[in-house]
Amino acid sequence: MYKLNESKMFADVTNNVAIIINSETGIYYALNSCGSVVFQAILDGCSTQSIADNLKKIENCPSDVDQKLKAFIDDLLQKEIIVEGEQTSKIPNFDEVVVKQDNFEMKVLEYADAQEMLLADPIHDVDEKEGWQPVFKEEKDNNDK
Amino acid sequence: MINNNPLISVMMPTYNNAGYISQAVESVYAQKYDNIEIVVVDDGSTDNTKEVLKKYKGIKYFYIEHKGISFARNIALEKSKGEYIAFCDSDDYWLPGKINTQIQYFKEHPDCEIVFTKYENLFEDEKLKTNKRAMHEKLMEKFLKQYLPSSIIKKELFEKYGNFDENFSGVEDTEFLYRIKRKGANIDHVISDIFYIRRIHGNNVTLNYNKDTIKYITAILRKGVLNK
Repeated sequence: MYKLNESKMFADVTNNVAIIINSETGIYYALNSCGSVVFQAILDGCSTQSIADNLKKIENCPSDVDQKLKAFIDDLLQKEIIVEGEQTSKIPNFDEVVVKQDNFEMKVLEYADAQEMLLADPIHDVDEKEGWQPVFKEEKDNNDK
Repeated sequence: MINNNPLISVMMPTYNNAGYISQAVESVYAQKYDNIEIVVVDDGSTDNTKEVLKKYKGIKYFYIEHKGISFARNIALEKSKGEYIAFCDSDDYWLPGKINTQIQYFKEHPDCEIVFTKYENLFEDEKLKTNKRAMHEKLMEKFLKQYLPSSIIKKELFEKYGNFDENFSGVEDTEFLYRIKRKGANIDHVISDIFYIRRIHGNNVTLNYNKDTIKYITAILRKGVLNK
């Protein structure tokens, strides 16, 4: 089973939208609604089998849901969002409307537009006198000349 | 006599900071710039903030029911008459030359809408500096790289991009910066000298939100994603 890769990832699932931040790269991820509820089940320690079984109980579940789920988990693993963890006895209870609205598609969307904000040196790693504001570009260019 | 310097409105939201606010006000009045208004929005202080401020002439003081810093900032914005908006939180203070340096920068960079200065943290308690902080707190610090209170902003920028989102009281400045950046504002104008002193005293609004930091930051990002 899997759990959040807490060594570098921060995650929050609210209103069926999961946001995951990679604190090392400043990249963050948003999951679509179906992906978010499945991701929450993963964070809860539900087994892949129980997730698949419960998706299949929902009307109009596509026949390839196992492959879709595997692809989703592989994507989360490849992005190092999740790592192997311990299984719990928790059984997922999916909101049918949420899962159906995305046609059982589980998507991981990647964003890099906040990297600048997320990657400044933390206060403990910089000269207290210098602060951690970035050097203004023109000044840096002049210094580099 | 006509004053050729543009009016700068200094927004100073406060909440129970009577012990610090004099230093903030005096640091603003010590600027060698003659067209400043200080707009204090007292967010329901129960200490003697109002009495402390009585000795200063010309402060626009508004007392409101406690509703959080975003609401207070928006009220201050509404009451501000300046062409430019500056910030001095009541527990922080400015260093001499801040306004003139930033106004000069605007003159030299006509397309600039917001210019920051570097800032320095003043730790009231050494323990605050040396304590091993939780990772989520570090993340918050990273997120605060551009520190809004160090900036001066053309007021028209608020008309263009909107005021502070009152759903984000505590990290409203970060949400604001992230929002305007996403919408195309250039937030890379930074003066390389330190002109803003940010006091870290353990009761800072931002630091009080540590336990909810991830929720706040992800909420800011979520809002951005849903609006893409």
